Amino acid sequence: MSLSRRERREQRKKLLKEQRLKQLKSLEEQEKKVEKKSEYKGLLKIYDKHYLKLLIIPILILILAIGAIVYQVATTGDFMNKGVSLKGGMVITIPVQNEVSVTELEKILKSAFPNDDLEVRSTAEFGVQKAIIITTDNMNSEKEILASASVLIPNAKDEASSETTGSSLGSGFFKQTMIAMLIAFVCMSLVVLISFRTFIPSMMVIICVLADILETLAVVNLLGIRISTAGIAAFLMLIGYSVDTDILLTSRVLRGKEGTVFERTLSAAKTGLLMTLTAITAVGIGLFITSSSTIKEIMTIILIGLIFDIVNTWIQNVALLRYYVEHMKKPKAKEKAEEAEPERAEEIEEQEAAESVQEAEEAEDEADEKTEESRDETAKGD
Amino acid sequence: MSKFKKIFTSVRVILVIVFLVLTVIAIHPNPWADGLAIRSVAKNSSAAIAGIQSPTPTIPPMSRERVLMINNKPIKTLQDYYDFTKTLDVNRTFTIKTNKNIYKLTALPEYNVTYLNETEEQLVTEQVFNETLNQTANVTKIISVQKTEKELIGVEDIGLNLYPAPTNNIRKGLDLIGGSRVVLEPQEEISQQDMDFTIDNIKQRLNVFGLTDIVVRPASDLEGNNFIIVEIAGATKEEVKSLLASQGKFEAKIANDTVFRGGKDITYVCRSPECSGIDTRQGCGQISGGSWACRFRFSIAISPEAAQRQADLTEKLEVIIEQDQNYLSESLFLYLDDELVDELKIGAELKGNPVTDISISGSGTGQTQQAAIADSLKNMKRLQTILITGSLPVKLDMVKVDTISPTLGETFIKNALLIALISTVCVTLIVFIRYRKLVVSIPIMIIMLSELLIMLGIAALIGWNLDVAAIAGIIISIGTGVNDQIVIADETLSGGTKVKYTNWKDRLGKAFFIIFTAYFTIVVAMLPLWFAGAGLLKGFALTTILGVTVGVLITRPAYAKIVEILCAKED
Repeated sequence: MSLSRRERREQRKKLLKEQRLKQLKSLEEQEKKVEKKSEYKGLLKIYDKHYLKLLIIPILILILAIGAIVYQVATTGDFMNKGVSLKGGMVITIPVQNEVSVTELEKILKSAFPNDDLEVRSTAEFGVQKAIIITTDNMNSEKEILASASVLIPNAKDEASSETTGSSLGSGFFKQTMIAMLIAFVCMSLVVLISFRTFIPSMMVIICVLADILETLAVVNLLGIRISTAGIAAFLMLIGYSVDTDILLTSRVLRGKEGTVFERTLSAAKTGLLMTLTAITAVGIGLFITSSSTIKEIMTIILIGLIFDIVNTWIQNVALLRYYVEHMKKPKAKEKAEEAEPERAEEIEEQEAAESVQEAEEAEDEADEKTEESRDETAKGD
Repeated sequence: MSKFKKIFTSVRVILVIVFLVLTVIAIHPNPWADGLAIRSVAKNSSAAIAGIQSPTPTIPPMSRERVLMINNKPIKTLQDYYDFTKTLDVNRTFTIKTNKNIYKLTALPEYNVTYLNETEEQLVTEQVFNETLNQTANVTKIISVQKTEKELIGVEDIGLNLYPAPTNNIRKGLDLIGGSRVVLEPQEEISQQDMDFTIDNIKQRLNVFGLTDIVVRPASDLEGNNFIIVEIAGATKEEVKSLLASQGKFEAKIANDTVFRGGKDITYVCRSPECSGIDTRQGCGQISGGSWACRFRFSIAISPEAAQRQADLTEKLEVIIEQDQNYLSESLFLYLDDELVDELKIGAELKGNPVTDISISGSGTGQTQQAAIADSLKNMKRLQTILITGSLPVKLDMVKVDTISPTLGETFIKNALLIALISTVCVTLIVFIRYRKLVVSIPIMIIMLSELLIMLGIAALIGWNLDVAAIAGIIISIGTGVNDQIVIADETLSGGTKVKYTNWKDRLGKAFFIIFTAYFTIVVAMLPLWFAGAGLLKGFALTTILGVTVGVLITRPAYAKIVEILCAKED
C-alpha cells in the first residue's frame, strides 16, 4: 500500500485499457490460440491440422457408395432390394424349436416350386435360430409351401404366419414411401434452414444426412437385405438421428463463444460421440435379442447409418464447417469488427470519464481498495 | 436434503410425477388379475343362451368380463377350462362365476348329422305376406325335407372364446396376439357415404357370420386412394376372407331381366334347418372323377314389388314339358358378383303368379360325401350372409392379407421388455463412465423409464394398439430422448468449468435450441409417413411423434431441472 492514490489510479486505468483491448482482439487471439495449443498429439493433431486432408475419407466412402448404388441399378434395374411389402408377394414365417437347415429347406422348396422366385432365411435371438422366413413371389402357394416345409418343420401348418401383399399395393407402397421420404427430407432441410438462418452451414447438415442415407443404402444392398416398409421407416428415423449430432456440432461451433473453433468442435464431438455410442449400444442390444424380422431390419439400418454418421459428421461436416468459419465467414466478421471498433473506443472513453468522476468522489482508501480487488477478480475471471 | 426438497417442489418434476400417476391409472395394472377374459361368445351357444354377453372390441382390456370359477372351482388357466369342458355331459347344468355375474349354463348336445337319401314330411309354420290383405299371416304347411340321422357325438362347445386375463390396459396389436389383417381396396372411386356404408356392411357380414372381435376401419394414402382395413383377432377361417372380398351383388334374372337383387328386394332369408339345408330332392351324388357334389337350398321371401316383376316376366313365357314336369321356357338365373351361381327351372304353376316365397339353391363339392356336404353348407352360409346384408356399392380387391400366428408375438413381448431393460442399464452405465457422476446418469435412467411408462399410458388411454412397429417407435424415441439428455448434461456440466458469466438459463437455452431443432426435424420426417401406405405405418409414425413430444414437453425439462439442482454448488 505504499503507492499513492494517483499511481494506483493510473495503474488501474492501464489495466482497464488492456482488458478492453483484449476483448476487442478476442477474435484474432482465439485464432492465435490454435497455434499456441499445438500440443495436441497423435490423432488429435491430425484431426486439428489436416482436417481438410481427412475430408478425403468421407468423399471416398461417398463415391464408393454411389458407385455401388449405380452398379445395383445397372444390374437389377432398381436402386434397392425391395421386400415383399414394397413389390408384392408373400412372406411366410414359421417359428421353430430346433435348428432347421436353411439350405436344405430352400433346396426342397425350390425343387417343389421351380418357377417361383423363392428365398429362405432364418432369424435368431441370442444367436439361436427362432424362425424360418420364406419369401416368394407366388401369392397362391401358401398351403403348398407349408405342406412341403412340414417335412422339416412338423408344426409348420399350425404356427405359420403369412403376409401377402398384392403387387399393385406393393408398388403403391413403394411410391408412397418414396414420396414420404422426399417430403421428410425437404421438411427436415427447411427446419434446419429456419433454425440456423445461415445457408451454407445448413446445406452442410443436409449434405451430411444425404450422405448417411446413400451410404447406408449401399451397404444394405451389399448385405442383400430386402427393404420393406419398416426399412423405409428406419431410413426416415435415420434422418432424425443423423441430424441430431449435426445440429449439436453446428450450433456449438457457430453459436458458441468460448474457445477456438477446434476446441468447440472437440467438446461437441465428445457429446456427439457419446450420443451415438449410447444409440449404437441400444440398437445393438435390440438387434441381438429380438427375433422379429421387422425390428431386426429397422435396427440394422439404423446401426449402419449411425456408423456412417460418425464419419460424415465428425470428419466431413467438421472440416467443411471449420473451413467455412475460418475462411469464408472470417472476412465478414472482420468487417463487422472494424465497423464496431470506433463505437467501442468511444464507449471506453465515456466509461473511463465516468469512472474518473466516480473515483474523484471516493473519499476513503479502503473503499477504493475493495473496488480494486473486486475488479481484479473479474479480470481474472475473464 | 434441501436438494431433494427442491427437486420435488419443482413444477417440472411435479408435472412428470402427475403424468406418471395418470399413466398408472390409465394402464390400470393388476398383476394379480386371475381368471380368463372373454374374447367373444359364439351365437346360439349355451353361453350365449345363459346370457353371457360378447364384449365390444373397443372396451379397455381390464374392463372385460372374466371367468373366475366354474361350479365353484377356480379357473386360472386355459388348461383348467379345457379340463372342465372334458368332464361335461349332455344336459348337465353348471354355473360360471365371472367378475360381474353368475350364469347358469346347460351343456348342449352335439350331433353328427348324416343326410339320408330319403325324405320325410314335416309340418312347418311360416310367416307369409298376403298381398290381398296386405299383412303377414301364419301359414302352416307340409313340406318334405331330407331325412337325417342324428348321432350324438358329445357335448357342444360352451361357446366361450377365452384368453388369460390381461394384467393391464395396454392393447396388443394384431402382430402380437395373432389374427388376420385384410386390406381391401375399392376398384373405383367411392364417396364418403358409400365408404361408411361399405364398412358397416362388412361389420354386419362378419357379425352375421358370428365374429365379434373385429376392427373395420377406413384408411387412405398420400395419393388419395381409399382402403378398408379389417382386423380379426384369433384364428380366422378361410371363408371369412372370401366373404370380405366379395361385393355380394346378388341378382336373379330371367332372360337378362332382373327379377330381384340381394338386400332390399329380399325381406327374409331362412336360416333355420326347416327351410334351409341340403336339397331334399337332389341331395348328393357322385360326379366325374369320384368326387362328390351336393346341392343346398334355402327359402327366402322377396318383396311384393319384386314378386310382381317376376309375375310380369313369367307371364310371357311358354310352358314346356321336361321329364314329365311342366316348366317355363326360361330359367331363373342366379348371379353372385356377375358369376352364375345356379340355374333354376321355373315350375309352370308360377307363370304370371306373384309369389313372394322363393327357394334359392346352389351346390358344393368335396372328395367325400361328408366333405361335399360341408362345402355346400359353407357356400350356403356365405350366400345367406350376403343376401341378408345386401351388396356393397363397389367391388373390393383384397390387396393385402396377413395371417399372424400368436406364437411369435408371445416371445416378442418378452424380448421387448428385455431389450428395454438391458438398453436402459447399458446406456446409464455408459453415461456414468463418461461423466463419473451418479447425479447425471441415475436421473437419465429414471427419465428413460418414465418416458416409456408415460408413452404406454397414453397408448392405453387412447386405446392405441401396440404392435411391433409401435414398439420400434418407442425404442427409437427413447433413444433420441437419451441424446437430448446427454446434450443437457453436457451443457450444464462442461460449460460450467470454463465460463462463469453464462448462467444456467443461457446454457440450458442453448441445449434446448439443439433439442427443439432435433425435435422438429424428427416430427417433420415422421409426418409424411402418417399418411403414406394405407395407414399401415401410422402406428410407427404416431408412437415416434408422441414419444419425442412427451420427451420434449414433459420429461426433458424435468431432467434439466434435476441436473441443475443436483449439480449446483450448495450456497
